[in-house]
Amino acid sequence: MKLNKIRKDYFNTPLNALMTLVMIYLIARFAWWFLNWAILDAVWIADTKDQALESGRGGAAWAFIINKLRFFIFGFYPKDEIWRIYVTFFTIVLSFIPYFIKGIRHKVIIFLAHIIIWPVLIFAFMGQVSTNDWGGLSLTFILSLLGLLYSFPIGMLLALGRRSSWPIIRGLSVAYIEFFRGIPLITILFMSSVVVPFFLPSQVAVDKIVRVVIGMTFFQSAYLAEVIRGGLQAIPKGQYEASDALGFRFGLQTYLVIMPQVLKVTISNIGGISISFIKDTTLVLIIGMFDLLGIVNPLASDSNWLGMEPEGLIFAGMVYWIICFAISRLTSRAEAKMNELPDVGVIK
Amino acid sequence: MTEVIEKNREDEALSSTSGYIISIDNLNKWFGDFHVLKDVNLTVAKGERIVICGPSGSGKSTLIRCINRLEKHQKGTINVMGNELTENTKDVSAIRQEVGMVFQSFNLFPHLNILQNLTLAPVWIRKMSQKEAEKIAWQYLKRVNIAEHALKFPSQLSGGQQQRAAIARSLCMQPKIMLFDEPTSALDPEMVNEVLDVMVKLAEEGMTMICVTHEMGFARRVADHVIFMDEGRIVERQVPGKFFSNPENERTKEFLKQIHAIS
Ligand SMILES: Nc1ncnc2c1ncn2[C@@H]1O[C@H](COP(=O)(O)OP(=O)(O)OP(=O)(O)O)[C@@H](O)[C@H]1O
Ligand SMILES: [Mg+2]
Repeated sequence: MKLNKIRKDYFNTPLNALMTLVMIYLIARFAWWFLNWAILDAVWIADTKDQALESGRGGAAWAFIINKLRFFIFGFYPKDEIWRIYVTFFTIVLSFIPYFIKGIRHKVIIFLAHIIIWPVLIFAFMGQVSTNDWGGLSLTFILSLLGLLYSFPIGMLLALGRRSSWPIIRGLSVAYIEFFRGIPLITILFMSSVVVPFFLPSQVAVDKIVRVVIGMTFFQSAYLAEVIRGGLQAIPKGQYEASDALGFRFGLQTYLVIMPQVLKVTISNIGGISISFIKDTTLVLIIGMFDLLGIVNPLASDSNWLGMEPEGLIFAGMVYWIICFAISRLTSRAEAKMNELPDVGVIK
Repeated sequence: MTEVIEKNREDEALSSTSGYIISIDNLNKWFGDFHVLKDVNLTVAKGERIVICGPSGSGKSTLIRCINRLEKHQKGTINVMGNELTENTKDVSAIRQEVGMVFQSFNLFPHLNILQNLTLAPVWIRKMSQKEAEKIAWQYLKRVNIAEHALKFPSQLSGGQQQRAAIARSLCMQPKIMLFDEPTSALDPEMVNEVLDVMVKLAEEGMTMICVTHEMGFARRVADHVIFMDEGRIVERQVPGKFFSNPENERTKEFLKQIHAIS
C-alpha cells in the first residue's frame, strides 16, 4: 500500500523519478554535512576560539555557547545578583498554581493579582540591577510575559468596545485597533524608545523596558482584540438572550457566559498569535536591547570568540523554536481538553 | 416548598394593586419601517395560562419578548408586576429575574454541564450559596425528569432533554411568570410530549404562563385563554372551548382549518 503510493507520487514519470533521486541526494548531502558540523566534528570544550580551532576538525564551536551560557540566559546581569532572577521567575511560575485549584471561582481576581504582582516583582526586585544590564533569555521572557499579561485584558475590552452599542466607545475602540494594526511594531518601538522620552520632561524618566512593554502592549492588544472579536461573533444570539432572560447584566454575562465560550473557540488562534508576539520581541535588538537574539553580536565581539555568530544564531534560533513549539503543543492540548466531554453515564 | 408558598403570598400583594400581573396597553412596535405590533392590549392575571397562536410572522415572538424587554417597544405601556417597562426602567434585569423564558432553540450554555447551567444564575444573581443552589437544582431536575443526566453537557443530551433542562434552568430562579416561545417546534415528534408534560405539570401548579405554541392539544388542556394573532394584532381572545369549536373571527377559522389539515 504505502510503497505503491510512494511509487505513484514520486516515481510516476522518468523525469519525476530523476528529480526525486536528485533531491534525495542533495538532502542527504546536506544532512550529512550538517551532522558532521553540528555534532560529529563539533568542539564542546574550549576556552577560546583558537583553542577550539586547534582541537576541532572544522565543526561547530559549541564551546562558545557553553562558555557564554550565563550571558545567553541572564544577559549582563551581575553574577552575584542572579539569584534575584531565579526568585522572580520561580515566583511567577508558582503564581500560576491558583488557576489549577478547583474550588476557586474568581479566577479573574487571580489574574488581576498577576497584573499587579508581576511588574512589582520584576521592576522592584529584579530592578535592583539597572535594566541596562538585563538581557538574554530572561529578558525575552520578561518582555513576552508582561506584553501578553497586559494585552490580554486590554484586547478583550477593545473587542467588547468594538461591539458596543455606545457610539463613542465603539469609535474609540475602532480607532485604537485600526491605528495600532496599521503601523509596524518596529515603528512603535522606536516611538516608545526615542520619541516618547523626548516629549517627557527630563525629571520623568520612564525605564526603557517599561516603555517597550507599553509599546508592545499597544500593538498586541490591537491584534488580540481582532482575534477575540472573531470569537465573539461566533457566539450565537441565543446565548445572549438566554442569559439576559435569566437576569444577567452585561459584566457577569460576559464573564460567565460569553468569554468562556469565546476563549474556547479562539484558543488556537490566541496560541498562534502569542507565538508571533514572542518572536516579535526580538525586534528590541534594534533599539539596543540585548535579548536572546540581540546578545549574540556583543558576545561574538569578545576578542576570544570573534566570529562566533553562526553558532550563536543557531543556538538562539533553536531556543526560540523550542519555546514556540512548546506553546503550540500546549495550546493544542488545552484546546483538546476544553472540547473533551466527560464520559458520565446516567447517575444513580 | 414553604419558600414557594411564601413567594406566592408576595405575588398576591404585588398584583393586587392592578389586579393583573402583566398588563399591556395599546402596545405598538416597529422594526425600522415595519409595523410589527399594532395596538396590542393584553392583561394576564396571576396564575393565568395563556396560549398564543397565529401564522408565522404575525408577531407572537416579538410580543412575548417585549414582556421581558428582549425587545423594546416604541408606543404604549407594558406593566409587569407593577413595574412599567420604559426606556428609563433602571433595572430591567431585576424584572427579568422574575420572568422565566424558554426558547425554541433551548439555548443552554454549552460550556457548562446541566447542573452548572441550573445553578449559574441562582448563585451569581440571587447570591445563593453553591450548596443551596444545587439543592434547588436537584429538585427541579427531578421534577423535569432529567436528574440522571445532571452531569452531562448539553450537547450530550437529546433535544427533548435539553428543553426540559432549559425549563428547569428558568425555574431555578423561581420566577413568577414563565414565557414559552414555541418550546416544542424544534423537537422531533416523539420528544414533544415529554416537554409538554412538564409544561402541563407546571400549569397545574399554578404558574402564570404565556405560551406561544401550535400544540392545540396542550392549549385545549391547560389554557385559560387562547389568543390568536395576525399581522401584528390580537384578533381574538377566547376560552379554549369556544376558540376551537366556534371562533368568531374569519382568519381564526381559516388558521384552525390549516392546523387541522396538518395534524
Ligand atoms: N430583529 C428584527 N428586525 C427586523 N424584523 C424583525 C426582527 N424580528 C422579527 N422581525 C419581523 O417581525 C415579524 C414578526 O416576527 P415574529 O418573530 O414576532 O413572528 P412570529 O409570529 O413569532 O413568527 P414565527 O411563528 O415564524 O416564529 C416578522 O415579519 C419578522 O420578519
Ligand atoms: Mg416566533
